[in-house]
Amino acid sequence: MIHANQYELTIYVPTLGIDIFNGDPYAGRQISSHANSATCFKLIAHWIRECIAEHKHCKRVVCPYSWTDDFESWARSPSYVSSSGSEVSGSSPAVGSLSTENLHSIGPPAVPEVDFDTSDSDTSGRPTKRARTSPPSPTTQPEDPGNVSARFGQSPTTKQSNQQRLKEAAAKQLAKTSSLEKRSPLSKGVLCSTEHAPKRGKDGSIDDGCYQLYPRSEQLRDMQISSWRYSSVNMPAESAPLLPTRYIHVDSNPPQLCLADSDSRGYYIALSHCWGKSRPLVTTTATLADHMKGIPVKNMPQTFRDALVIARELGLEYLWIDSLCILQDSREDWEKESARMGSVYGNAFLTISAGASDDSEQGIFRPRPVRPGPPVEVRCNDSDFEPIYIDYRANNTPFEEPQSTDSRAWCFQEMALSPRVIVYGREMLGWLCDSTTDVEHGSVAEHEEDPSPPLLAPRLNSKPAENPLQNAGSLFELFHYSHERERQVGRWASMVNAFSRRKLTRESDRLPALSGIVKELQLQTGDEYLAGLWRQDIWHDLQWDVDILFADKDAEWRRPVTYRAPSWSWASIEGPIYMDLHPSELEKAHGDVSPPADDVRLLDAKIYTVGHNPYGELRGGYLKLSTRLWKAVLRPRQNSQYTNPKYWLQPEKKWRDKRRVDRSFEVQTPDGMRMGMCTIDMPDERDWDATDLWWAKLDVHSSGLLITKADGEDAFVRVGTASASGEKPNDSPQFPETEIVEIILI
Amino acid sequence: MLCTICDNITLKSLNLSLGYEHMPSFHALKISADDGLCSLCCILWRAVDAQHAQEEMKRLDEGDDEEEDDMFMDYPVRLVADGMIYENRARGLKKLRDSHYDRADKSGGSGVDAHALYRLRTEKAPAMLLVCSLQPDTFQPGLRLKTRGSASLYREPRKSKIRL
Repeated sequence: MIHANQYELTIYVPTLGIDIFNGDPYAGRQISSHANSATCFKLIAHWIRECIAEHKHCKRVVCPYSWTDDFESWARSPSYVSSSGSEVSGSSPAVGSLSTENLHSIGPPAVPEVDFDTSDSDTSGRPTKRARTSPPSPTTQPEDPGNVSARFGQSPTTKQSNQQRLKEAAAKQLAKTSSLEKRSPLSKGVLCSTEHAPKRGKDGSIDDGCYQLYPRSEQLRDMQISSWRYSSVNMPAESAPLLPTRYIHVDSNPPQLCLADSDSRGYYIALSHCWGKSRPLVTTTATLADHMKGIPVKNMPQTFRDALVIARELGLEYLWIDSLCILQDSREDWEKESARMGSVYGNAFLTISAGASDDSEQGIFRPRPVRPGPPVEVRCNDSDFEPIYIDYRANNTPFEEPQSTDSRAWCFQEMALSPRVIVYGREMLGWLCDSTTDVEHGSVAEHEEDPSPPLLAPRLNSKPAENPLQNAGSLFELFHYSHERERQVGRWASMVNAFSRRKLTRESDRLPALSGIVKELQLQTGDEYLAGLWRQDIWHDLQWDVDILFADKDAEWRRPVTYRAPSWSWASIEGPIYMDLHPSELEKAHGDVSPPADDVRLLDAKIYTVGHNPYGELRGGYLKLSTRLWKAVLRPRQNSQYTNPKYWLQPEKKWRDKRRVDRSFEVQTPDGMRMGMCTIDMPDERDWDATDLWWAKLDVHSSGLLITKADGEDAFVRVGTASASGEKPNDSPQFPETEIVEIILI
Repeated sequence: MLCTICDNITLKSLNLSLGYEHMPSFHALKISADDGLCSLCCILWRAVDAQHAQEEMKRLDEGDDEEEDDMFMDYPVRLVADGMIYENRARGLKKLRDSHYDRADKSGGSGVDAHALYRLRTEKAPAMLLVCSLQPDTFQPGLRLKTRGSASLYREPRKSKIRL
């Protein structure tokens, strides 16, 4: 029998040698976890080495934000209106007019040229710690409304010149940051070719928790007993990415909060973690000066200390932690930095996801539950004495078992945008990059068929499948899309579906928490972002539904307390949303994902933001549509399996069916002619018998929105979606003739 | 250490449609596991127990609070390898592709069991060992296999490309 005490190792780890750090994170730490064992760091180094050396796709997406990191260089939506009221652009150009060239150089003309003079850096390659002399100011200058090229791009000459200068500056910077002469011994980590070993054990022996590690392979066991000579990792040949505005210099004593120059570059680690109920150590305007002198390690919560250990072990000297690198009491700074968060995580060399920690006091290296015994070797008589192995099958990898970070909305884009993520799961380490996933025991266990959207963030830049078999089974590439447009739509839909399930502390953060992904997507597609929807796919995206099919039993839906988004946006509802992942076959035949009918047009679209982040909080917005309207009334569903008492006897269906019965109605004309079915967003919001409703046509199938007049305004609000259907499956209902009208949806 | 019954497992019997006849009942499997003398019985019972606990929790979660009888404990235990690559990986792939099925849910799908394909494609991916019983089905005549738990099954120790 297996006894827990056989596997419980408690190691007292003193600080050996010269105590070069005050309050060293290793000092006096009772380690009862093996996630911080040297073998795990070797495994991480192995994953990093594989990624850098062999993953061509990952190389392609290194440093995707080099040209658009400045706050004022957001790709402006034609409909974006800043809170100051100055309109960035007037008319809405056809989306098709945005050429591919423009997409690479998106940005307003007021973008200041980056000065690549690196003379301010000191000889160690470490950027000098001084604040930006001229912080970027939000750009709200009006532009010529008709000049698309002026709005979206720099001139080709300027672009080439900048690229040349960027390359030169990057080469200089890389040469400097590669130098390790000035760095402390502890910072020579596993990514460097060095004899350095993590200090472990009083007698110098190194404990790896051999018996607690998953038996990835014989080679991993060899790794545990091998000498501490690491293979060096050649950092990517591409230029090091820009450092975030503030970062923590790990090699300082104590670690210091530093301000980056606008051209400071380097490889850094970002931390993705749950704050929890207790507020962790934060930087405010009052503590900024102190933190720039040094942040005592003893004041840091355990998760931050463990992140320092990882950074030091891996040999990376810069660390980014949101609570320390963003001023938490400055609304302006928070807005500015949260808008940049996408580029912070996108540019990070590595992101640490503290998946097993519910709050920052728990630490990254959590004690693991005792694992079952090793696999059993069975020597079958009929297999030429080749053994088979039978092992307890547990869905305990970080990608199968829900982690604390999986339910937090802010962690969504942190996982989706980071080029490489190490997940410290409850039972094992997980690796995630744009090309592959891997786990500590070396085998991604079978993943159950689950039609519900994944809680994990789909990778934004994941390697596209070349054939149906290539990415089949990857946890982040759920379906194979044969058409690029189809893939884009499916990718966004799966993101909305997963993101809307995640929880937020502040309701108003729903759109800002997605802004990093939106920014990247807009750079890739050049499309216009409209409060959670894309203009190019507006007919598809408008048909989102409250997710009554796949949401958990405990899921609830409600309107946010304060205004968050127009009624036609999914962000106007707090709760799980379902956006269709697949366009129909008919739509694919048209070459577009959701071709609008001839009589349906989007005339205008505007959103009004609260601050300067065009993808952030909203204070209003509207769509101006030209479409056909039919007066409609709601009737209870007839002859449906959901209203059949026999069906209700099945207990496992009860709660799910109640949702459907509450929200699903038959739609008829006032004359009693059946038009189709509808799903109401918030059934308790109105008295539906006393509400005037209209069916607004959206696509060739006459699917549409159910709308009603807004209170006190000459505009409409969305109350649900409607789909045309006859009484029998193949019947198509006949709609009465109506004229095309222009409506405004708010 | 293995018990005599586990020691007599053959690859051929695991790949039979009704699998390897392991124990006369789940009670017997539990007793063998509790004795702790056979490490495979321990793993198999743990798989059965975990699966049963999971099903119970799901049932309670969905509002069915009636106690379920433990009738399954009286049924014989069979071991069936599911998706195992029996010395012919290409044949396994072909078989899987030929047996496309459509996912009829709203989210659609590629029509291929993606995860089964993944298992077949990757060297390190294991097959599944189903711990089953043969149960009378109330609604259909005859007997059918009922899964009670599953464990991982693989031919070689997991390999990785770790370089030292």
